[in-house]
Amino acid sequence: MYKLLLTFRYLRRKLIPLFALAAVALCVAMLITVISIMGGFVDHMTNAGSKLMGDVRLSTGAEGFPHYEQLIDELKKLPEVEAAAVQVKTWGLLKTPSERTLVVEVVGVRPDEINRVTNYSETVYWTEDRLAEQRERYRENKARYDELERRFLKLKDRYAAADEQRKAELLEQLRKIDDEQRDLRFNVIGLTQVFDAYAGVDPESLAMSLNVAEGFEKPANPRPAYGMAVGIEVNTANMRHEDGSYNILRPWIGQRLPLTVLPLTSAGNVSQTGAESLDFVVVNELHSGLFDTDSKRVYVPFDVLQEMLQMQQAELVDEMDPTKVVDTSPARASSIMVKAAPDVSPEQLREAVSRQYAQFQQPYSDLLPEPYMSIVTWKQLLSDLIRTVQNEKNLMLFLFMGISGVSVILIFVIFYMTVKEKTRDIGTLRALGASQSGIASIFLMYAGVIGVIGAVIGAVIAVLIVRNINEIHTWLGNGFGACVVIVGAPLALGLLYAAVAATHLVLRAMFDWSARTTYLRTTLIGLPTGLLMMVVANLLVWLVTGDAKLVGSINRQLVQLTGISPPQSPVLAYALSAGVVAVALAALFAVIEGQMIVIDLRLGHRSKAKAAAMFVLGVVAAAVGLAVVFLGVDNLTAQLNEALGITIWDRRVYFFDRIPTNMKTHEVLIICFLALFASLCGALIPALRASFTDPVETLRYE
Amino acid sequence: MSKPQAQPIVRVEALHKHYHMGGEDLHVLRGVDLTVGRGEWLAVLGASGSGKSTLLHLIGGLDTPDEGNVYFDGQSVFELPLPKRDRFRNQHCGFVFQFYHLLPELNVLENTMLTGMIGTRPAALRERAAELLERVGLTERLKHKPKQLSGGERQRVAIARALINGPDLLLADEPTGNLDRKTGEHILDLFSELHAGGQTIIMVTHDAQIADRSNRELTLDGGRLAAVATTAE
Repeated sequence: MYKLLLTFRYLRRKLIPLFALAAVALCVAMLITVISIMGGFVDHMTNAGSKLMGDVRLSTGAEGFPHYEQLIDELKKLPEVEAAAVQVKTWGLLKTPSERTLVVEVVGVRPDEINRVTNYSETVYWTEDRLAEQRERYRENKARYDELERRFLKLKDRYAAADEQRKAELLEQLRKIDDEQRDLRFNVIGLTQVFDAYAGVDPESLAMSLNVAEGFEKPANPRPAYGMAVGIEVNTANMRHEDGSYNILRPWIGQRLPLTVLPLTSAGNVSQTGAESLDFVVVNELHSGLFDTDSKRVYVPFDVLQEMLQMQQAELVDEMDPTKVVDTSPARASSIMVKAAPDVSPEQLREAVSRQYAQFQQPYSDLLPEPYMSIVTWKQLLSDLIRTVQNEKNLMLFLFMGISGVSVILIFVIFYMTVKEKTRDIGTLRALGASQSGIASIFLMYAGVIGVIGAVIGAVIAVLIVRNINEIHTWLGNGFGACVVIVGAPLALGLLYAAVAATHLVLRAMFDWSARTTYLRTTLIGLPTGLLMMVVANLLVWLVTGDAKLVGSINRQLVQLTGISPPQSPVLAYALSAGVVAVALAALFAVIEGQMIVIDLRLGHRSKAKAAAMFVLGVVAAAVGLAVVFLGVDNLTAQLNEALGITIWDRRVYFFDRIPTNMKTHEVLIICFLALFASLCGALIPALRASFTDPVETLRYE
Repeated sequence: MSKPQAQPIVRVEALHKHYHMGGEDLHVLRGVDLTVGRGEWLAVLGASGSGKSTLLHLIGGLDTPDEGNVYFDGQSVFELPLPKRDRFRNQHCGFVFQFYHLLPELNVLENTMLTGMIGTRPAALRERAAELLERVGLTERLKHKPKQLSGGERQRVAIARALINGPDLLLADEPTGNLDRKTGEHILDLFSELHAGGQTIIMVTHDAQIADRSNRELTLDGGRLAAVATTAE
């Protein structure tokens, strides 16, 4: 009973356990976030891998292998096989409408067949639903564009009639409108092209047939062309929104693009006929969610690509007499993808396929045995990547657990100090009959409560972060980025701290009128801490960037406001700007301090004049400081982001276009229990020390 | 040598205690024999460093002797295993210290209840604590924290805390040492009341006038009992 009472009293009366609690919460949040994101990577890769390439793939080199149709028929007889699909694959050159040439991975498929093995149809971007969604976006953008256009025309008229000084101002406004119109204009035009192309045509059936429907290609070209489905990121003008949809600026839908590939002979040599080129009409775009695939791959009809690569069935003629057919060269394919039947693992399927292939291959002299014919599961195919991410996950976990060790040390130090501070109370408790185990359990319960509350808070923070990780990323990288992290965080912390201190004071004033307030001490600690954080963070930016470019915007504003040129030296300019921000922060604290003194006046501890002076001073200083900071904050943000090159998440570096997450309940629970365990470990030695306190020693010396 | 005034509750036999301090061996108690009768108020007088507090701590089982033994109701205190000794202290002894030793996080009522909460929680602990606080004149201060009380008030809380489990023995270590004369008198009046109610008290003090309030005085000098005086009936 007394243990519980003291545990909660120690928690309530001391500020220091809150630091331990914060440390535990942060560590838990950090670990759960890391493990969820890295787990998300592995899971997403696992899902995407099997969906994109089937469970098992048979393939040889770029020259391909023959007898694939018979092989597919044989494979389909296996109970382990649900479906199989053939494809030809090569690298090609794609000429874009803007006359750029891109290197793309060209895959020849029979969409219906491949759709039974992979999730091809699910990756088709332009569907009726998507068109409807884009129509909505089109309407919004069109309305905004028209409104801007009206304003532009009005200003243009005023510009014509204005004097020279006014002209400069109006020109600036016209430029701003034009800038805003630019993206809207492209989007409106782009979407109009897409809607026109799909008028009366089902985009999904185009993707599934890879044929060009009549009337789809406008203007119709006298030469017939085949359809091509293009990875959505191949067209770099498709700008992705945070919600995963794309801002369509210069669409390729309905456009005829020349594709060039290099045919190889069955021996793997470059064909004497040289490169083959053919026009394809983009009938749809594909969005698999794997950046690597979406940014490189284009799909064309199997037979067409096979013919371009001269891999179709051909007659071999006598070198001396080309009219004499001596043999037939069978058609070739690059790979066969096999999907496992339900409840069959990729490994089991691989075994079965391997056995079947060994039998199948024997009569054919032109079919090579394993391992020349590679038969691998998708896991083996992606093993390098999966292993890397898995290793990364383990490494991150190890590193973050190491960092979490800091919280154990922090708890140890906090408890050690608490025990030291409470030595006399411990002696008193022992004198009153408390047992050694009772004393130890007070501190262990204390640590347990910190561990539990910290873990719960940490888990909640982690859930919020993990659920909104993509939005947070966009916000950090584009919206505020460096400004929030470096300037905003200390400011927010300082304000939060001051607010907590003020609330604490008010509550004390409400419930405990006779108590003497301790706000001054806490605020005085908070003030320099906030300022110090601010200055150190800003200095770091300066050290990293090497110049004071990032504060240029504030300086420009100051010049505009005062007409006084700032110091030319970057160091001085930087110091000035950091000083301005510091003054603003100090002013904020002064306001809080002034308010606190006003509250304190009621308790009769301060003179009215002093309080009023402090309050007025605080308000004035805050107004001046904040005005200066906010005048430059937008520019400062842009400058900081540019100077630091902040891109926290670069989807080109990783495999996916969005940060995948997978929060597993059991992992969260394990981390929470580990946090509790760590708290108890941190408190164990201080608790034992407390239990072995000699009461006589503590009571003897007063 | 002491002489019991009534049926003995505490018997101290040939108690020796050494301390090692600053590389020196201090022989604080050099064979103390003592018997305290039930309902007796014994004052142990002596100069600073004479071993008064050590004797008190040994009688309460808070410290262990190098030689000798303490018997409480015929039971050797130091033969008890540590947890039982803690329990003995909680149930049978009430400590009052010169510097009160109230827990700053707890209010007056909670501080008083603390000894009760440590041991087997007596029935109606809160009511009993309130009753004791009323007896020491602190009914109005139940929710106040120790730092909001005067020295005399704190000591009265400490006395109420010592009495909450109805101890057989009240051990007071310079209970008025940190108080002005007038406040000290009030505290001693409280002790007199308790003694009149049959409470056994062992009080150590360096002040002969305070010791005069007891019904028996012992003087410790150089670790030995030097004088015995009966001051009152």
